[in-house]
Amino acid sequence: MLNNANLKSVKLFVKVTLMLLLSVTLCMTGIFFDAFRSYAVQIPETTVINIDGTNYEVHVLNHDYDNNMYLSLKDMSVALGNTDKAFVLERSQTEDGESRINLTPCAKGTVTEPEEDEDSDKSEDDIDMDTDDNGRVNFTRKRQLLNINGTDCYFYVIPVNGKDDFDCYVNCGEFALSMNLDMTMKDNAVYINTKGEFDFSKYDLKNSGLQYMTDSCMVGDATTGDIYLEENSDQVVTIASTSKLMTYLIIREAIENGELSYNDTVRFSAKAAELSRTSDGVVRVEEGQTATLSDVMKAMLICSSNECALALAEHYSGSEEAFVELMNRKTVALGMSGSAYFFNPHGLPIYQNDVLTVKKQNHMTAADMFILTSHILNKYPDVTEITSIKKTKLESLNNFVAKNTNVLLYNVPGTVGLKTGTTDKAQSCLVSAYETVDSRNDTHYIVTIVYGTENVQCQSYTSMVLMRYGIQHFNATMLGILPEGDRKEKTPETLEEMVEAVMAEARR
Amino acid sequence: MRHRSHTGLIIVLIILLLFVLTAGALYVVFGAGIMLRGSWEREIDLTEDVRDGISEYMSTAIGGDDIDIALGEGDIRIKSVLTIGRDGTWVETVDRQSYEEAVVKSKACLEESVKALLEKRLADAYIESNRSVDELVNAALGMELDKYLDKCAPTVLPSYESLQEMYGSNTGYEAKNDKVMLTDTGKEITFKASSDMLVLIYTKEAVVYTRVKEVGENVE
Repeated sequence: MLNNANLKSVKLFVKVTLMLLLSVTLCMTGIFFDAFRSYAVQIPETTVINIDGTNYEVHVLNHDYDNNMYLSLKDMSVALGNTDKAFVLERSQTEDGESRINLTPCAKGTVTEPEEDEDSDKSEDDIDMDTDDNGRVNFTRKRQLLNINGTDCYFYVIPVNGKDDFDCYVNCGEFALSMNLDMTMKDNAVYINTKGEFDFSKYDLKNSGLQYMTDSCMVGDATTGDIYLEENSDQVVTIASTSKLMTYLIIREAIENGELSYNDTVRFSAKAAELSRTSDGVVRVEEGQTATLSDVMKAMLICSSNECALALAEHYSGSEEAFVELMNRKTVALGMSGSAYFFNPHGLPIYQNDVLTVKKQNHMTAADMFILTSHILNKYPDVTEITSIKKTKLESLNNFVAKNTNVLLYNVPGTVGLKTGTTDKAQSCLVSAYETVDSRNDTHYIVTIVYGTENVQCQSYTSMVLMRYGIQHFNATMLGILPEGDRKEKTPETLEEMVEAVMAEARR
Repeated sequence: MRHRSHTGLIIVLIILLLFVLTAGALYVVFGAGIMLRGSWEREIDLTEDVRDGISEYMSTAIGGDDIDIALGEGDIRIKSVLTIGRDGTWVETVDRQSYEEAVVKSKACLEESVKALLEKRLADAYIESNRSVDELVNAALGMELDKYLDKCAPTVLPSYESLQEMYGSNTGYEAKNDKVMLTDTGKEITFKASSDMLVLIYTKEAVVYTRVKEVGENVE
């Protein structure tokens, strides 16, 4: 017979043994999966980057596909260390506790190459990644706040978190754009001329095929109506939440006419409250809840609140249907194409009331949206006072914190809006405006319209490049480099470039 | 009957013989030079030069080497006119008009070759367009193909100046027997001349000229 003391000892022994066995099993499982995984993992490679004639070896990752190159910021810091573009890579936190990676300019020669350490090699263990059902490894891109030369930007990066070290891989094109680097790629080699600037011609842009990452796109001067570049701008596309710009216009005109006021109290209907509880809801509201028209409008434009768009429509017209009729009448008044049509004030899909179920969405062409945005910006430029807000607290909406998801507000300083949009069919859309002045100090708005990009990363990248081109084009026109009506594009110099240009044209 | 003397007849025959011999001697010494005088014209075949130029340009694009350059033998020719003066001048000039015509032909051939390349590349990439190659080029480049090639392609025909330097001359000459010596180089060239043909025989080749017919002259 075991006494109590012995019984306790036996129980303890059994417990310890079981725990040891469990630990060993878990370790073995981990080792097994780790070993299995290592065959599938794409470990960062190195590539040679020629900076002002000197070669540097830099770690890179090709995300999903070849040439989708992501550069190690840590390595780029060392490589650019002896140039005017030298920067120090540091980590910090914002006041809100958000992680921020700083690329702070520094004097030449400040950045030193770290000593080679076996443990410091970038391995797959340090990089955020996930494995799909088929065992394929995907590096996880995260929306990361970067502070580049004092400007906060959001990029989708691949972070690397080592024990005592950190790094992150950033898209090659976005890096060149944000650092204003003259970067070229040829035969898998990267060349950087730090004396030059990020610059490309309309031919470069068209020949790159960037426009094919969208269903349709446009860039132009909304003030003068000059179109700098357009692709499928007459193609009818679903416009998702960019529809809210029309809702804004009708409400803003009512304010102008004295029919409405920013101080009006808007009451949320049962329909709006119900919408707020769905997966498409943004601001949670209850039936009968009230808020100022000013806050409701901000919620609609800054964080794309569908319930607020509906509430504004009902507040002005009494019903959604009556408001939608006004929207459609406005498309005619503005001279939009006959294909512009609204079903609702927010841009969400609706199903028609029929046995033959059909999903319907607001639609128009990019050229129609250019007409709409130009009209708004020219007639009510104060819209940018709302659309340029990055983050605000809306007191009358239970202190709801509205955050702007238009990445260009961060990544392209000078951007003042305007509206994002996403539905399954419309995919990721963005209508942006950049404020600038001409030689007579008159304000101009350069507008980019991007419809039908596959994801938000693609949407922000294409919009950034188009906006950069628009700004470049506008500035060149102002400086008289490209006189009005005599804008010459770069002609392909070699026969191969010419053939490629013709083939790109044929693919359209 | 009075016997007639044959002395006078013999003297006349001797004088005639001397005249013929003198004429023959004069022809041998100066006659060939006299035949040289006038304007002579020859054709220079530049087809291979153009073919090489087009091939070199085409090879800068993928698949360019596979394109057949549609040039037959002697398709691209220029004229050169040699004027041999009574005053001992020897001037050969490449004919500007025939050169311009050759330029047009060589450009047309280059354009055809590039079009063939574009068609091949579009077909290889399975790209079908309802627009013609000309329309695609116009849309992509903002100009027609010939204008683009004028702007960006190298000239596939040697320049007029280089041809003039290669084939032209401006010197004096001295002709003796079947030889003519050019005074600038001192080079002796064997020649054969007739009323409508002049052949200059160099070490490795013979160059055939035909006499340039004057306007209004009968041409048979």
